[in-house]
Amino acid sequence: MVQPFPVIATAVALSPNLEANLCESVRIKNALGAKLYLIHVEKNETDERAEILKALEKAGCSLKDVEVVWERGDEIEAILRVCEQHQVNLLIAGALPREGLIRYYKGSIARQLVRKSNCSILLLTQPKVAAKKCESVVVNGLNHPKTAYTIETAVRVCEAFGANLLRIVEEVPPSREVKRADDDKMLAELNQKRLEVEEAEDERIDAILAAIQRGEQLTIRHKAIIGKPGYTIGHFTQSVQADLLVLNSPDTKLGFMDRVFTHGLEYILSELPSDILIVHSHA
Amino acid sequence: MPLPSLFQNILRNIFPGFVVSLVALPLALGLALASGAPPIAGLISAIVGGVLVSLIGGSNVAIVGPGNGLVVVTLTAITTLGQGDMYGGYLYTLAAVVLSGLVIFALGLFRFGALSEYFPTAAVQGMLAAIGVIIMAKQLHVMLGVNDPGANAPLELLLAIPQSLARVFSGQIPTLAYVFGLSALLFLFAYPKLQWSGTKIIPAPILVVLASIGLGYLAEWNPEWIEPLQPAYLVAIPTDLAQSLAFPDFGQVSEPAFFSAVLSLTFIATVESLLSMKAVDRLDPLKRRTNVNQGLKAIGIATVVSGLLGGLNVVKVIARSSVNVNQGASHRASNFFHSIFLLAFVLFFAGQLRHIPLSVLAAILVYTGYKLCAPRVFKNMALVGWEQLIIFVVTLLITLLTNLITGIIIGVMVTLISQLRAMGRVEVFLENLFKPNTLLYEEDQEQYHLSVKAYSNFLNFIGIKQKLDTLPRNAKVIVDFSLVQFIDYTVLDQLQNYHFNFKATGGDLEIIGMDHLSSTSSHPLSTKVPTARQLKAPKYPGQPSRRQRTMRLFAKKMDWQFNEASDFKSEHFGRFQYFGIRKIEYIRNKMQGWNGQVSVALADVYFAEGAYTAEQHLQSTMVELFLPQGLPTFVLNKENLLDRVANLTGFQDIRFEMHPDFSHRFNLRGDEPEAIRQFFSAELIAFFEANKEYHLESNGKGLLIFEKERLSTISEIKQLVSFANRLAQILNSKL
Repeated sequence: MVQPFPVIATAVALSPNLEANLCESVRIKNALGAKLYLIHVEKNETDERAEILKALEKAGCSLKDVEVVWERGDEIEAILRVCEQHQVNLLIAGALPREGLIRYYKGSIARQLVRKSNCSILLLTQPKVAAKKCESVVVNGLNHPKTAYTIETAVRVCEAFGANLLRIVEEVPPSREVKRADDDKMLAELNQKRLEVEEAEDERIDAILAAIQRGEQLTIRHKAIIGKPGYTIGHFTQSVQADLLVLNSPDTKLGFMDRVFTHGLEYILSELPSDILIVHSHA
Repeated sequence: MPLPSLFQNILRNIFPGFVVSLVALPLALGLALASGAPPIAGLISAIVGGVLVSLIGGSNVAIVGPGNGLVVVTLTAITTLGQGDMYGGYLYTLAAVVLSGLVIFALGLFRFGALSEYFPTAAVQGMLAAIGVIIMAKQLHVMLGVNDPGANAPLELLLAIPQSLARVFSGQIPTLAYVFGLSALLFLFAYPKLQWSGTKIIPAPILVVLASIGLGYLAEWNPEWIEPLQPAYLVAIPTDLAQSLAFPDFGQVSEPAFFSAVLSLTFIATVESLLSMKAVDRLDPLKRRTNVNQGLKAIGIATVVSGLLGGLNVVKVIARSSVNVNQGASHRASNFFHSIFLLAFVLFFAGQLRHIPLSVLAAILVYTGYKLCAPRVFKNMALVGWEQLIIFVVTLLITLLTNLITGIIIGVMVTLISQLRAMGRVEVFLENLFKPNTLLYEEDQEQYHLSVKAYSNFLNFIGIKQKLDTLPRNAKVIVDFSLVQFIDYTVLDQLQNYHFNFKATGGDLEIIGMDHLSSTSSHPLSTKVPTARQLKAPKYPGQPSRRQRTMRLFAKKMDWQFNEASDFKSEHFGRFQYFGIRKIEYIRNKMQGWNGQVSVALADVYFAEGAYTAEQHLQSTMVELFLPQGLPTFVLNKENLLDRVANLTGFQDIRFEMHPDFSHRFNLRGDEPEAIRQFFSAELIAFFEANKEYHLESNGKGLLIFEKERLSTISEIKQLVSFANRLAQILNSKL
């Protein structure tokens, strides 16, 4: 795999983070050597275009580098339509780290995009005007066919952004054997079982890593953690203060019920621990 | 050391079983009497319980028998179900006991052992204190020789004490009854203070009982000295045991009062047993972990059999278990022998037992009741924090005014309301109520990091507990609360237990990341609440945490200065490359001293990365060495470790042909390779090779040393300081 995202797009809207979002997008475009589209869905206010263009100028990117696509209509639909038209591989959107309770069930624009999109998505939680080095990245190592591609993408992204530490977290759903320790005998059995699970997980990840070509600069560590998938990796990312979390795309389009009975990705979407990259597998 | 065989275990546990039976005998009789049941009922539950539970398993050194807490609910059940007829009520209650045994068995079967974790400590303490008050309220009268004080509710009983005293002074009560009662009580209070070696072996209750039996016989033989006690004032033990066994009467199964009795019995028996199991695990000399669900199943079965034979609920009891441990018990055989000795007493010494005055048994109960609600308990609660005292007192009062179940429910509600007020953000509470909030991973070999998020209180402690329970007993655990905004007393209290348990088995548990929260009192376990603004240094930091006190002591030992206050203008740490792109907000917990000509300082550094609304707050415990003369600028890192200093990239790793191991393990960078090569003498390289790989950075004047981007635990601080001191010594020799 040479470059996972040759065509990227950023959904822009008038917000306090507009300039920072633009700066980040341009930096990402340069790092990846990609083509960048800016998608803006207009409402009826006339001076919107001018303001966006002003922000573009302020962010220091000329119209030669980027292509601005003006759209009208429903925001989500319009953005997704443009992505399909221009065969965008990666859609960038700004997102607030936390969602309120009501907004959580409805879903913000960024999160609705995640739930419906057909391409990879990067959610920026902390866009900055000034460059900040992306140092450490966390990627999921779930036992899933999409994982190998996601890890490879994470390695490429690390290389492009100059990150030097990639942590692979293999979330193991807590089964009865690794959860129950009523007395010392069960505790010994549990720890034995956990060792076996960890070894099996490590072997699986090692096999994936063996197939990925990479430079010496990047340190890759992996760790099997027993805990609820989705929740665990989010908490881990927050705990180790990583800069980016890379995840598999959801298998099904997420709906309202997934938010009521929170699971997997929804844990992370409800409280973004860092920037999030959701990798859409072509496979 | 090979483990003792089963036979050896049995032999060794006969004596502890005997001593416990001496304590259990008066308690079993007294608790049954206080419950309104025939005294033999208490003995039946102790005998049946001890035999069955020791055979079924699910306990090691815990003793089972009739329990304090159940006195109140059993008495209520007997009086309400009997409607005036105490013996009839007793038979109906036996049916409730059998049913509650089945429910307890089911609770164990369906693994509800964790149930007791959902009750806040202060509320449980309040409930126990209320039980103590209720037992005392009734038994004070009996102790004075007044067997029918003419009241039932605890408060009425307390108000009736003057009347009972009046009856004593007016001579309506036989002299021996209240003399025995009062002197027994005095003796029980004085006994622990006696500096006699026998106090550790011979339990006080059996001494008072033996003395009263002896004096009783003396009075019987010499009625001209003093009038002997009439049978109404003595324990009634049936002459023919087989004939006198009572059997449950299921006649009231359809009554609502019956179900309320089953519910209360089940609840109290379960809570008392679970609390005892937790407490006994801490006493166990072999530090085994009791299987709580197995334990519940065992006492469920024992309760069913006990009820069918006319006995009361079987529960695990803490006081008798602690006597058991003190006598050297190590195996559940002692529980079995305690039952066998009790049976032997009833079979062979029934005549002597019939000489035990009721007032003496009442005195023993008054003493145990007093211990549950002594002023010390109130004082301890107040020390933890006034809000805990309120919860405790409210639970106590509501329990006295209504019943145990209502009391504990109100106690839980008061706790919740006070916590929501302290937390200040109801939505955070609601949002995270049903979400997991713990993350456990192995940081290093045998060292685990348990990170907790959002808030941590009695409602979600179960998450922490489940994670901790899966760790090897010799694990080193770091509980990290830096992502938490609220921690309650229940959690800290439980974690302290875990701390002791891990310590006892060669592990350790340390708590970090609480320094951003304020304490509600000076007590180390007091509730931790958010300070006015998160992630800013608290203005009024409250009392020092345990970590801070240990650091102070450590600094004192080395003759260093220590300052726990937040310092916003510190000169320290800021002048290193590492902080070129990061902003130090403040430092805390600084210790500082000298090693020869080198100044050494260690502190918790709070710093920010990035800017605007999106800045990220980090913290780390760091050491700074300052030298009187210059040294080359360099960065030394674990090879391939995260390159923390972006500004210095572009320089090649400086390698030493003579020290391949050092070059393999470390990444050394700097802009003056020759000077650096000169500086890294063989001695220095050997030192680095022999030690942990810290991040080490020189700015030409001093050195910055740290390990992780989180606060260090005490043991890590000690390692860090030791590393810094030895490094300073080498540098001193170079100066």
